[in-house]
Amino acid sequence: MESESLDLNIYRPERKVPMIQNKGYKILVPGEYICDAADVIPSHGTYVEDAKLYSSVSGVVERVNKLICVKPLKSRYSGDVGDVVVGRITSIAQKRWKVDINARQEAVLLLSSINLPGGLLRRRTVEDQLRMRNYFVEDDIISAEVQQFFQDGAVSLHTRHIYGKLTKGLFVTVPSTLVKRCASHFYTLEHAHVDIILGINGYIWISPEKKFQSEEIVEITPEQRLNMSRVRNSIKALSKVFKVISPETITEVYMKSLECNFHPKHMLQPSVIQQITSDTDASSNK
Amino acid sequence: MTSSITQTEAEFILEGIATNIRIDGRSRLDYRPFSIETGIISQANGSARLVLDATDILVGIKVEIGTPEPSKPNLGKVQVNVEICPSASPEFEGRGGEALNIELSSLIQKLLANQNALDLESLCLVPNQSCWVVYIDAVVLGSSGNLFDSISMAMRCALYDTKIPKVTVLQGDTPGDFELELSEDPEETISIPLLHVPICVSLSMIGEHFIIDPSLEEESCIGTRLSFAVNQAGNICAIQKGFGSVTPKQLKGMLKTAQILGRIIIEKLDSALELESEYQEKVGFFS
Repeated sequence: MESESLDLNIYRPERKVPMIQNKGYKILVPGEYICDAADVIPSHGTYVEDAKLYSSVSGVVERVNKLICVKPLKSRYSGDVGDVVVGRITSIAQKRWKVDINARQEAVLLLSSINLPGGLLRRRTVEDQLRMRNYFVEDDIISAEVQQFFQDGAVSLHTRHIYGKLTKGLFVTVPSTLVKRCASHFYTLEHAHVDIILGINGYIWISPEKKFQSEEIVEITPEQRLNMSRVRNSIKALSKVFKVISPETITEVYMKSLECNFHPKHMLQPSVIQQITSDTDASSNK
Repeated sequence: MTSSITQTEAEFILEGIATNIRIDGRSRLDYRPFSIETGIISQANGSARLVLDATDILVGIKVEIGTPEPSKPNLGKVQVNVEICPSASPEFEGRGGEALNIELSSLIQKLLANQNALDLESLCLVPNQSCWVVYIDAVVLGSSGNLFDSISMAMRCALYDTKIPKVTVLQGDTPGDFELELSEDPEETISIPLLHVPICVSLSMIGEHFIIDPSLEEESCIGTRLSFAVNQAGNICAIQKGFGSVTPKQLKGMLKTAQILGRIIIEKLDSALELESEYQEKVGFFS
């Protein structure tokens, strides 16, 4: 018989307070005046009306000499070549897979862009086309790198080298603007013995620590499971307070939650989220 | 409403539930924290909003004077309507949400519209001629799993907040003819007694164990779902099977758990409602 304890927390909704105050940059709302349109080149997120420049999205102004653009706070991911992303296969088409990467269009993973057994230079045959299901099926999660752009803005991925199908782990979604580009996107959180892949598109993969490349994860212990859920809740807490998600900030929130002795399930409460993210620096928000 | 997940993700969730550690660290019978607020729609007689993660339920209650059913001349009427907002998810665009709308509406109607849940006799003004008709409308603005339970809890909150204007029945000119006089004073109202109003407790079977309050990912792994209507006293008022099958032994266990959980949930919900009603300032949709 199940234990009859029920953890139930009912709270009052709080009025949202502006999260960035006096940090040296201003958040604009759609329709807000930026400057006069003379001598500036309007770019993304702006429009000109009556010789004045206005913002068309909620975001922060970025100025490079004469070029003015407004970077939105929350937007769909728009790729750059070399980005590391985590995606979910949505469908299988002729010699390619379609992948959802939280962008405006589905990305494409060509059959020629994945590792096939038999060497890198092997030619793709008709049998390979028929056996595509053996590699990736609908709903599979993969880590990939952006290879190139198509003219219509769609992105082409490749899963060679260290990328590929992801198994046995947790999938988390956050706003894509909170994940920054950095040198590597595969991290091991030492204290938690957890591996994370921070996709720049806002899709994150959490898995138990793999000490060696080819090691197969057979059994996940309850401690590992608790650690993974703690990492997951730390990431969700950061996205709730809209702070940058990086290995450093995740570790900070993780350690704070351990310090304050919170069980992972209590990290879902808004008061606890405020407490564990209060020390984290929000200055790298943009 | 389901999200698609891979085989290995589903296995991970299954194993987690078997070891009593779900993906967010909860145990099998833990609820996610949620917020409630009542009285946010000023034009309605009663309203409430429940936000549980991404699940966002808004309930509005209006009362009107109508005529009772010919077969039930001494009872008032309750009309429940649940609608899933198309913006909650792409699969609800256009007519996509219709099947789920009907399922939700009929379940909630079953829960509330019977004589024992709401005191329909007190809603009757003049037998055979006029009675109060209570229109309960729920809108699902966002979903992250656990719709049945959230909607029933939000409705209970809205019913708690409902104020029905006081009506005096006056004798008309001819015998058998009655006139209704609505009180002018906005403070003179009657509330709906919640003593017998049940809430829905849905137990979902994943693998060999059942859980409460499934998230979207967990909902894709559910084998069987049973929804129990439980009232304050812990009595089971109705059972609805969503899909799947259970053995008699499992059913016995689920019944017992639903009774206990229902009592605890109603107790905590009622005390939160009492606390909440003391606040004058409403946050509304700015939270």
